[in-house]
Order: sequence, then structure tokens, then C-alpha cells
Amino acid sequence: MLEIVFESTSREFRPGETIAGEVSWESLPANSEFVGVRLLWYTQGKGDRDMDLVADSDVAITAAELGVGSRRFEFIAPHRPSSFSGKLIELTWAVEVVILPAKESILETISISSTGARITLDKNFDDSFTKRKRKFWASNR
Amino acid sequence: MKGNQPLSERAKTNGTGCARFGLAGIGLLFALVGLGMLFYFAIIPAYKKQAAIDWPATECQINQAKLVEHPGEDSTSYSIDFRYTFSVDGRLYSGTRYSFVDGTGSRGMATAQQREFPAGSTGECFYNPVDPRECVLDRTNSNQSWVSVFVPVVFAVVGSAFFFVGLFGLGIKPGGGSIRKPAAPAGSKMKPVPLNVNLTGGAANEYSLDADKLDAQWLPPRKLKPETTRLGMFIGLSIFSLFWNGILSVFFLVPDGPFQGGGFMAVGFLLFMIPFLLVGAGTIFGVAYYFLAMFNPRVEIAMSTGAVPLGGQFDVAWEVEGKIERIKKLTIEVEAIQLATYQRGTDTTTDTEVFELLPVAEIDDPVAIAFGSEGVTIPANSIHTFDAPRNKIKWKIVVRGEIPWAPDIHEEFEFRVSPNSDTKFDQR
Repeated sequence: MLEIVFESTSREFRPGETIAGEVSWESLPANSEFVGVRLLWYTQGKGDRDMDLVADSDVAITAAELGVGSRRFEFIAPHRPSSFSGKLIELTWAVEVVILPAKESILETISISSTGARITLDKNFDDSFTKRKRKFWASNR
Repeated sequence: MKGNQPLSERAKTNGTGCARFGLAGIGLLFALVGLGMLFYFAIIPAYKKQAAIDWPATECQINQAKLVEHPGEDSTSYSIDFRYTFSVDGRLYSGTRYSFVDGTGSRGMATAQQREFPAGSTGECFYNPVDPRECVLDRTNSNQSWVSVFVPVVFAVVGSAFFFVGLFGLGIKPGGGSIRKPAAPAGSKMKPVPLNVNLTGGAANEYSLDADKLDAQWLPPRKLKPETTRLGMFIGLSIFSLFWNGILSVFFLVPDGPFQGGGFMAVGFLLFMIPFLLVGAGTIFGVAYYFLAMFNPRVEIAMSTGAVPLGGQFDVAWEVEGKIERIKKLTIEVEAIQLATYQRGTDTTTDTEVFELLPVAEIDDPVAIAFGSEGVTIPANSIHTFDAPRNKIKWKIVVRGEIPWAPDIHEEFEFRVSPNSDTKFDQR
């Protein structure tokens, strides 16, 4: 069993802030050798997935820790790309923990942006706006 | 979120690369077979036909014109076994070739040849003056079937398409969507680490460093280049149109083609060809359109900075050269679009969605059309430029010019939007 617990109750981070927490486990397979903690972003939506592994750290697990153990992790939130959600593309940041070589894993999503919150790409215009602008230009000639 | 295979590991084992190379291999095989067939059945006979234009004619004695059957799995094909003799400068020569196109055909075609040159008759044959042993009865390749051209061309074209799609994936990098592979090799032995030691990972973000570098390059004032030029569109479309319509013309111009005989076969084939003919007609129209568009007034766009931070302001200046009086109205807008590319089988599709539209100028006064500038503010709550292999966010200045009775002006100039300037910091 794997679990990620963040030190911050909020999963929203601004660039430069520390993403810290602890990964804990119980009853790992006997052949488990490393725990890898990774900071990554990936896309979802209409397009095929893009993904980038931003930071990772693999640390050995002792035999005594196979039954129960934990590690603290700490990352610095990058300033780009920001988490966003649009009609076609959604970009999500996440912390992933991987037990190697068994490749048991757990992933918890977070949000990184200038405000912390995921940016929503709604259509910030409509035909009526464009028409109002055109009337403005016409009347101000 | 739990899964059997970690997300960060999936990029390592993506099978897309193998499938793509397999597709390229099959495509290459098809293309080579097609080219080989084309060379043997079409190009070589055409070359020999051309070379034989000056061959002298002489009277020859047809000694044999025997119909030969070639049974196949589904049908039987036929050929005529000719034997004829002629003399040149008092020396007797013999020949067996009907034309430069070897092979078998329908019974009707074979018997037509037999009627043309029956055994025991005299006819006209042509010989190579340099080596009279090389001779033919028909040097025009009149027995060449359109199938001998059509099939190899299809093989070559389709095979080539599969090869290039398989190899280059239409611009998509093979091997999964990962931009960068994990730095730490999995499975390497390390010393045991005491409990509760910080696992600090620097946010050494290769993606963000590359993007920041591009932003820095775009920061100074600059004149923007259009994404596609009218000349480029004209040339590209012309090449495609020549290629497409050239292949289509084979079916109409080749002797003994599917349209020569008339009847149901010709009508059926014509119906089958309608979509292809429509595409061909469309390309011709497109070529004419972009040819005319090349004579449109030219628009130049300059920005006070090519990389604008979210929430930042910039000035955009325009200058129009050429016959400005032709432009009824000029519209300049800033657009932000999402582009999402996906593959379904061998098809690659890119969907786009405009999510931000900022009016800059809408002018019908020729003086104001000729040159001008406006300030623009990028919304602070929007998203910066994002460039990944399959998913992108692009920002553009779009210029549209209405020209009555002529192709309208439509030019797009890409620029960069960087993250909010307050959030930049030095990476570790």
C-alpha cells in the first residue's frame, strides 16, 4: 500500500513555493529495492498525451523497511507550464511515487499556476462582443 | 490515482515506435515493388519506343502466329508466339517480338494481334539499324494495357505514403509523448539511506528552461513573419495539383484505358473517379486562388516585443504595401488557440479551438489601413505559450483584409506569451 500526504492542505502551489510531503508504504513486495518520487506534468483531452518528468529521485529501501516505511520529499514548483484546462487540452501537474522494480505506483495531482488554481480556458469572447467592438470602432472613426 | 504502470514509466515502453517502423517497412516494400513494376512495364517500354522512332521499316515474312494460353488461378491470359524473318543488306534476320511491352493479355487482344499478322502473310516490321537482331512488329506499344501503369502507380504512391507516415509520423515524434526521459536510471544499486532523509528534487525543468530561452530570444522588438506565405502556398499546392492531376490523367490518356471502350465499365469507372476528380478540380481552383492572392497588398506586422508576459502590454504596428485602395476593410485581432493532435490508426488529426480573441483594429479608411499602431493587453488570467509534441497553445496576430472580387487577405503572425513576470525565479 502506498500513500502520499502533502504538508500543505491545499494542493495548489505558486511558482517557487515548496511542494513537500511524505510518501509512506506498507507490505511492499520482497523484491522492492527503490522508491522513486517524481514531479511531472501531463496532458489529457482530445490530443494524444504529452508528458514531462521534471524532477525525480530514486532512493534505496532497506530490507527492514519492506513492511512499513516512509520518505519525505520536497520539490520547488516550477513557473511553467501552468496547470490549465481547456476544451481540447488539460495540463495537470502531479507527484508520482514508484516502487522499483515492481513498478507499483501512486499518483496525486496538484495545481501549479501564478494563482495556484488551475487556469480555465473558457472562450473569453463571443460574437456579441466582437460586434460591440466593431460598433465601437465604427462610431469612433 | 493508482495504476499498474506508473505514468512516468509509460513513455519508455510505448509501442507506437515499433508499429510505426513496421508501417514504414511495409510501405517501403510496396513502394519498391510499385516502382519496379512501373520501371519494367511502363518506363522501359516507353524509352524503347522513343528510341525506335528512327528505326527503318522493312517487309517481313510472318512464319508463325500461334495463340498461347497461360492458365492462372482465377482466369486465363493469352499471348501470340510470333516468328518472322526479314533481310537487311542481303542478310537474313529473325524476330519473335511483337512490341516492347512484354506480357500477356485478354484473348481479344491476342487474336487482334493474330489477325493483324497472320501466319503465312507478309507484314511490316522495324529493326534497329545498329543491330538488326533487335526488331519489333509494333514499335508504338499499342498493346500496353492501362493496368500496367495504374497498378504500379498505386503501389508506388500508397507505399510511399505509408513509408513517410510511418517514418516521420506527419511531424509527431515517435516513441510516446515524453519530452524528456527520467534522469535517474531505474534499478541501479545504491547504498541504503536512513529514514526521513529529505528527498529534495530541484525543479531543474528542462522544458521550462528551453521555453524561457525562447522567450528571451523573442523579447526584443521585432518584425513578425507570416506563418505561411502566399508564394509558399502557391508552390506547394501547385506541386500537389500537378502530382494529383498527373496521376488522374493517366486513366484518361493511356491508350486502351478504361474510358476508351465505353459502356458500363467506362461509366462505372467514371463514377468511381468522381471524388478524385473533385479533389483535382479543387486543387486547380486553389492554385488559381493563391496565384491571384500573390498580387494582393502585402501586410507587415511589427511588435514592441515578441514575448509578452501574461497581463503585459505591447504595441502592434502594421504597414500595408501595394494597392491599398483594393482593400475594403482591414481587421487585426489577437487570437489564442489550443491545438490538439491525435492519431487514429495511420491518420493524424489536429483539432483547434480559439479561446481568446482580442480586437486590435478594424479599419476602412485607406490612410489608416496603410499604416498604424495600437496597444494590446494580454489578459493576466489566460495561459502562456505552450509547445509540446502533441498539444500546443499558440498566440497569433491575425490580419484579414476584405478585397472585393479577389482573394481576401488572411495572414497570421505568431508571437509568444510568457508566464506572469512576477512568477519568474532562478531555477536550481
